[in-house]
Amino acid sequence: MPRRSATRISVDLPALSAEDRRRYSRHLALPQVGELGQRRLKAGRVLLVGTGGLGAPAALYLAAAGVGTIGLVDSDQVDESNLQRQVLYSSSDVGRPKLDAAGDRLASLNPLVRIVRHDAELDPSNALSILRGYDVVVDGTDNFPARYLINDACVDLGIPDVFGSVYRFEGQVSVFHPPNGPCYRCLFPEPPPAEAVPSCAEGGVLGALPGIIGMAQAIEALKILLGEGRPLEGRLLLFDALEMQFRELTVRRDPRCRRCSPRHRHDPLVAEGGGEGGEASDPDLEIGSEELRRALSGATPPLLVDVREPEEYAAGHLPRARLIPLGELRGRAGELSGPRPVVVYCRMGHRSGRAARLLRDLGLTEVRTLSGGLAAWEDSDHRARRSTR
Amino acid sequence: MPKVQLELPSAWNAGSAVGAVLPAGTMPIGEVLAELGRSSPVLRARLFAPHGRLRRSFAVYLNDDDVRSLSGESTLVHDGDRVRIVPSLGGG
Repeated sequence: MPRRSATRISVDLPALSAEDRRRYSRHLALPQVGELGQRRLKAGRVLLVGTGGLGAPAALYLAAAGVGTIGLVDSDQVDESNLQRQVLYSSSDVGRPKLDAAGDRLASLNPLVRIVRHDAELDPSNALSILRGYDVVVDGTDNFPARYLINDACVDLGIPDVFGSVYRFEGQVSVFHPPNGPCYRCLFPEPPPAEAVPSCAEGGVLGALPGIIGMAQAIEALKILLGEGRPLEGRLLLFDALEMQFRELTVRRDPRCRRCSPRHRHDPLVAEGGGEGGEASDPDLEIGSEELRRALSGATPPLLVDVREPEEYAAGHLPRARLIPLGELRGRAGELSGPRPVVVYCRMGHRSGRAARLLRDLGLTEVRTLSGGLAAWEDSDHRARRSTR
Repeated sequence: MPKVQLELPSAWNAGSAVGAVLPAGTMPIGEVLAELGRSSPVLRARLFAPHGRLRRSFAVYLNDDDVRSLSGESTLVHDGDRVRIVPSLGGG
């Protein structure tokens, strides 16, 4: 396999200090890295979009490897539920902005790298300006609109997009960098329907899984900076943790791709809908946990409908709730006609929001969705119990 | 008896349909997917948009080839082939 050309010529590369030589001695011993490669890493600029399950391990290894500039894009705060997999953060970071906690951790790990914080959610108005100037982008986001936006901006700017994604026990990795290979839209031209996309918060994810995928993304980013090896361009790596099995599939460019084909390459960026985060909530349809509690103890308690999948329902549900998975709701809406109002719920409120809109569109007038889903219900329950102690 | 092996995404919660086999015979892959959709309303919703168009949010591989690089939905599936649906995963 021919060596790939690196992004810069050696005369532009920064020199290594004595500290660099000590810290990166195991890299310097590798013929494929050596002094020149380490200087390439030192000159390298990698942007991590998302510092969650994928971004956390990727950031740690990129910083440890001596990538000179690491950009971080995230506007979230550290939540306790992040700690099961987002190994950048500690218990004491809960409640802190992720950028602050990640920046501190990475600076502590390797003070020789520069951390650039972008406290923003990527959107069509800022994507190009944030991505511009980076050599590689690592997609560690958790929603489809952001994935399509990263792809589109990377295509426009000609930056390799190191893609990774996870769900439950499965992960995917690839590198999208047309015209060397396909882009994300060549593989998945459009996002899945929103009702088919439970998030990791809803569907769950094995904690160590994003570690494997995020580290694979870090390796791909390092290879690209080094100009060594064979990047995953035109190849999709599938990982199945339950089977402990990797598979590889060939991905080809779509000559009619509506992003990376020559006529669309510089089309204006747009927000792609679909998937979680792709729809606005409807406050008129929502009911809060406290209000629902009062309604359930009232004269006409609402009929509770759990719109999750059967195994999610089996793992725990609200008392007397009826199971009708979202995918079956249209065909079974007739079961809900009657004098009682209906409250639909799911884990986080995304699927039930769509369920409520669907039922309303089908003519059901007394329908609402539990705001924030079971997660908010449990949180409210927890708070109520603490306040009565 | 030779059969067509189907691999559906575990994320689709297709349950028993994962690893299922279809009747032996040669047929276009579009027919294979339509047959799959007829077997379950949940699968139909995942595979097809409301007006019957095959969704473009997943890739369909026949053995090791994306069918879009072959003959699309007209690609013929033969006994012994493996059809794999590769979903887009959103989580990170």
